[in-house]
Amino acid sequence: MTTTDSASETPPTATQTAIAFEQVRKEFGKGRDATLAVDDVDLAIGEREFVSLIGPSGCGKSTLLRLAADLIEPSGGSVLVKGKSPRQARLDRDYGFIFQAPTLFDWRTVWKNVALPLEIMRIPGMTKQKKQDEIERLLGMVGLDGFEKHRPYQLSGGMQQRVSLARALVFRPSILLMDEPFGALDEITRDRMNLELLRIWSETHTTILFVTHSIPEAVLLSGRVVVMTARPGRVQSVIPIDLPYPRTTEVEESTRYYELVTEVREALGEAMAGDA
Amino acid sequence: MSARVTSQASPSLGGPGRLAVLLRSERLRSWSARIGLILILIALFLGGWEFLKWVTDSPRTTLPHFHEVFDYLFDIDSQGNTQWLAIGRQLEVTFIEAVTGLAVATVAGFAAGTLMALSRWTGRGIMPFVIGAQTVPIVAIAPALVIWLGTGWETKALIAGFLAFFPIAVATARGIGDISQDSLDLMASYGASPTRVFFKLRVPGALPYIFTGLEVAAAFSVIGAIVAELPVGSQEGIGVKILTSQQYFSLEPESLFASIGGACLLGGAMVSMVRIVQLIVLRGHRGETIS
Ligand SMILES: Nc1ncnc2c1ncn2[C@@H]1O[C@H](COP(=O)(O)OP(=O)(O)O)[C@@H](O)[C@H]1O
Ligand SMILES: [Mg+2]
Repeated sequence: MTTTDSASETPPTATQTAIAFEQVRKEFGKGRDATLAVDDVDLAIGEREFVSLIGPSGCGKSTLLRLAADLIEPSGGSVLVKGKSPRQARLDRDYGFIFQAPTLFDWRTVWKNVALPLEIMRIPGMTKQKKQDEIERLLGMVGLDGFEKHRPYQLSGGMQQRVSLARALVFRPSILLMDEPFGALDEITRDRMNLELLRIWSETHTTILFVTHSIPEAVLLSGRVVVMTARPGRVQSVIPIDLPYPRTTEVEESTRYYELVTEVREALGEAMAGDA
Repeated sequence: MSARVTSQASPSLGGPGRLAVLLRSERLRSWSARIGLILILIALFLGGWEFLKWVTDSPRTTLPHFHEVFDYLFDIDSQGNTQWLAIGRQLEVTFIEAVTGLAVATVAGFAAGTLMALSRWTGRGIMPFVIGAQTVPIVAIAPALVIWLGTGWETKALIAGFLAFFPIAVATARGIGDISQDSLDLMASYGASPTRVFFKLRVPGALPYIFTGLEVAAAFSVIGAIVAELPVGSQEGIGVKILTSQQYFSLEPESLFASIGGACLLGGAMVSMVRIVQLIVLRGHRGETIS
């Protein structure tokens, strides 16, 4: 079922815009100490699309994500999330944010960490039984059955990040904003997490805006890869990834995959060259 | 299975073998190490005491033998009570003063620390008072306070609380304020209200800090209560007992040492009390699991 479902999504058609950056500028600080983090960013991410941001560190990838999440406000231009202001989207719980660090609460068990958003949100129609079932289902989905009573510090980094993923999915946001979520993981764990994420993406029909500094990861996951330049952060190029979904590790052996990796690498090289 | 077979086959080895396994278990070793350490400390203390007496060749009226102090506890006083009961009654008075002071200081210190961490303006207004609480030489002005406020136990609780306030306020301010930006952003992404952020993130995150402050505060509260009892006019408390024992020192030197020992035990008991509450409240916090 998921196979046909996700196959029909190829390539993801942007019927409606989930996130729209228009002429976005963000300046940190004031006067002479001001840093222009991003400037003149135009970018539209369609619903159910998987888009990666890649670029040299400090080019404003996190800044763009935080703007969409209403954790910071733009200095110029506009950001729209599902046609609304980011603030409204945040209050409507339209997105789940996943940080590079798992950001779990040590004093809560795995189960209670995943339950946290539900404690805060009071989603209508969410009975206690439904909550329990949902948490159980998600922990199973991220492969953490039997770890419900563990504390975060008793888990490996990969397991912690999977808890954080389950926590972001528990209130069924239609958008996932992921800031280098697997950056701190070893290659093997990371590969597995990538495949899990693809599966979750196709099963839950979410829109994903994903920050990474790994070219293979960006190509494997995304429908489009956005390459950015630094100082100030701008969109250098947008590379469509025309590999069919569902993707598995076999994709990584195809010639098209290699061509695309090279294309992204070259774009990134140009972005870095412009920087120097 | 095979282990059971072997132990049955050689019953003579079963006992000591099992004991060895038990001794090797982490939990038991940490407990036996702890008890062993305490016994060694007690032995060192007693040895040091007697050694000091022997080296300085002190008579009973300067430094009695430890066993003389111990025996004194079972002597009968003028009211017909054993001395340990008499000392215990005074300790109880001081304990109530200290505990009341600590409770008040916990509430006030938590509130002040929270304001210091969260509210720029109120926090700044409160700061001088909190700093003041630390720098006021409470030991020096306690006699004046006793004269103004009377010699009742409430005055002593107030002084105990005053001393305990500072460590709690500072620890709370540190804990409530020291929350990672990611955690705060996470709560913001859920659209959590400030109240929710406070109770679901800041307070639980601050608890380990607060308990560190509470431990110091517990010791301070006992010191505060005893100091407050010292000014002339007080009738009860271990401080008073120490003072009177000092006056009759040449007649009954054991009384002073027994009272001082009681005061030390009280301080230790207060700190242990906080530790026990901490172990219960912070069950599951990192590094707070009972070993
Ligand atoms: N809160 C902040 N205050 C000041 N400067 C910031 C802040 N956040 C980011 N910056 C600056 O903005 C630029 C972009 O940062 P960021 O978006 O974190 O980059 P990236 O995630 O691509 O590595 C950097 O130069 C960084 O120093
Ligand atoms: Mg970043």
